Amino acid sequence: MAYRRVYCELSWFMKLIEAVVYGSLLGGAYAVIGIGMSLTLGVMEVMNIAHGEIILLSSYLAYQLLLLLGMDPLLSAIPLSLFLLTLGFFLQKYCLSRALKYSVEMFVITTLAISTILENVYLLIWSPMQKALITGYLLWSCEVGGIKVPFVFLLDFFVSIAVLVTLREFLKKTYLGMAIRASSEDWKIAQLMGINTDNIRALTLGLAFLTAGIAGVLIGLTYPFSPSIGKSYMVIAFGIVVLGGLGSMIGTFIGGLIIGLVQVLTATFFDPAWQLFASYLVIFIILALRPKGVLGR
Amino acid sequence: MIRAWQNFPLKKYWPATLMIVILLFIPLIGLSAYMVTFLTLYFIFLSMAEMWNFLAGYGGFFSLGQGAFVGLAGYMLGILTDFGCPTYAALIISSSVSAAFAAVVSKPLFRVKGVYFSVGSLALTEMMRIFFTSWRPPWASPVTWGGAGIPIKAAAYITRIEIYYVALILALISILVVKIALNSKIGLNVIAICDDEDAALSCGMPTFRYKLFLLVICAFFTGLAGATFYLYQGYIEPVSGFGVNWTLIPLMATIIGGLRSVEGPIFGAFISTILYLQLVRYLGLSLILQGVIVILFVFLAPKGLRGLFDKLKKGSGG
Repeated sequence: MAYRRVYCELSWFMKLIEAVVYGSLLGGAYAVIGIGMSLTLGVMEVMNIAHGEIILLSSYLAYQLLLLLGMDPLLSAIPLSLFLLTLGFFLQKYCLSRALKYSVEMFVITTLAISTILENVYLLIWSPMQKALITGYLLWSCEVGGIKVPFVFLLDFFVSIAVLVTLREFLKKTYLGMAIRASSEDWKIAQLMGINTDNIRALTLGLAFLTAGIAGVLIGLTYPFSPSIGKSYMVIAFGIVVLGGLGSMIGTFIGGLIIGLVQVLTATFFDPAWQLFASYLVIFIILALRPKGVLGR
Repeated sequence: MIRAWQNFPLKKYWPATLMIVILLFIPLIGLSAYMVTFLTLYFIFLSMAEMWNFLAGYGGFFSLGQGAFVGLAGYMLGILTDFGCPTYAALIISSSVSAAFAAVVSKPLFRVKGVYFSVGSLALTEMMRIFFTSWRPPWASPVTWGGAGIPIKAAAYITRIEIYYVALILALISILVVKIALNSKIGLNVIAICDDEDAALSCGMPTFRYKLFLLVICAFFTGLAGATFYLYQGYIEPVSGFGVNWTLIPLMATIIGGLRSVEGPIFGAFISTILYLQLVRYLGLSLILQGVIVILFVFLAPKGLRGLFDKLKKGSGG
């Protein structure tokens, strides 16, 4: 989860432009991390602490598919995200719904336990060493006005926009999406209108897992990953929800951009070791000053 | 003074008093090193569990960031004793730093209600971990700090028996503080805020002050317990100091014993300590097992053993 700049001499101004471009592009990938968290918080009013570990699950499974079958990670993203959709659906329907019925806090505790279990299972299976999805197009880049833009960063940005737009249209236009929005407004009324809210919750967690699956492949292509990094993903997802406010795709996107920009600007102009700390600090400052997000009233 | 002792309800409290007297004298008889270690860890975990129970069970703030207080106090203990501060003063100062830190972060944490507090506190712990992994103070020697952590010098000059007594007193004071706070006006107000904050606020209660008090007390004693643990361990590094296990241990102890009961953690911490000591060599496995136990208790007995016990009693009664 650490942005590293390839060393070359650039003027101060070019460095700034480069940092802004890279930060915005990476911000796209962060928006995909955050959208799942925003969805569960908006509809179910809970946060899934294991969100980061689910993202890592997708990264590790893509790594394993690449290793065993030579399957391209972008290709394996499709079956992986569908697998995670079903996993999320059944996990909520038969397991987590019991905790949620008891109280919201019990849900959070259960997902904390799941996240701890998953992290240590990854440690046992894949060792604490860093892994990466290494593909042929990892080194491609295109040059725009003197700035080299890696292909992977562009991929992050455009795939994330596609995911956000698709999700927005799904929630706005389809019957299922409308049912999800209706239940996020008011549970009881939605139930009275004949919506099976249990299934809606299960579907919401499934959708959050689906976006986590896509995010896992994107982040796996961008950064190396290790079992302990899941918590950082979770904190970034939380930060995006805090920065962007709830229930808007644009807010989520802006939250991703802010975190990406803070991270890359800190790495370029201050010290790469402090990039994650800087983005976390921004999250807490925003939480203290504007608890409803930068766009919120 | 004598009158006060005569009024002491010995009949009601004699098992607890007997237990405390036994625990006070037990190391003098000559206990095996393993037993002393076990009891020391038990007292430390018990104190953490009581405080987490106070914060989560009674206050309704499910903190997942106890590691921030533990790690901060541990680091402060290391720094202070490095500069020649006497051990016991360093213990108190480091836990006060932890409490002050809680007061500072209470503003963003209490800003938004509900799950934001839980996840925000977890995010805070991660932030602290990254800070102590990256930060190198100017006086640092080249081999310590950063990811390598720092040794705690005071650990060399203190005996295991001394730490046992520190931990015992700490556990007793934690239980007493929670008991006294719950019986006083503060405890009632805290419970009222947990049940319905808006109603409490509309009754004219300064809710923020009580929430702040709750968090600061909790941070102080959790920090003290953490500093005692690192005094025993003799070494602190960021990954374990700010780790999630500092949340999981008190959480599991409370969930097993039963949320919202002062007696629950006394039993739950016992199981936590057994698991910790038996599986300390297989850290990954231990954490997996802790996670599984927490999930099982949430699903099968969300009110813990106390709830099960009550159910059993009711079932046999009628």
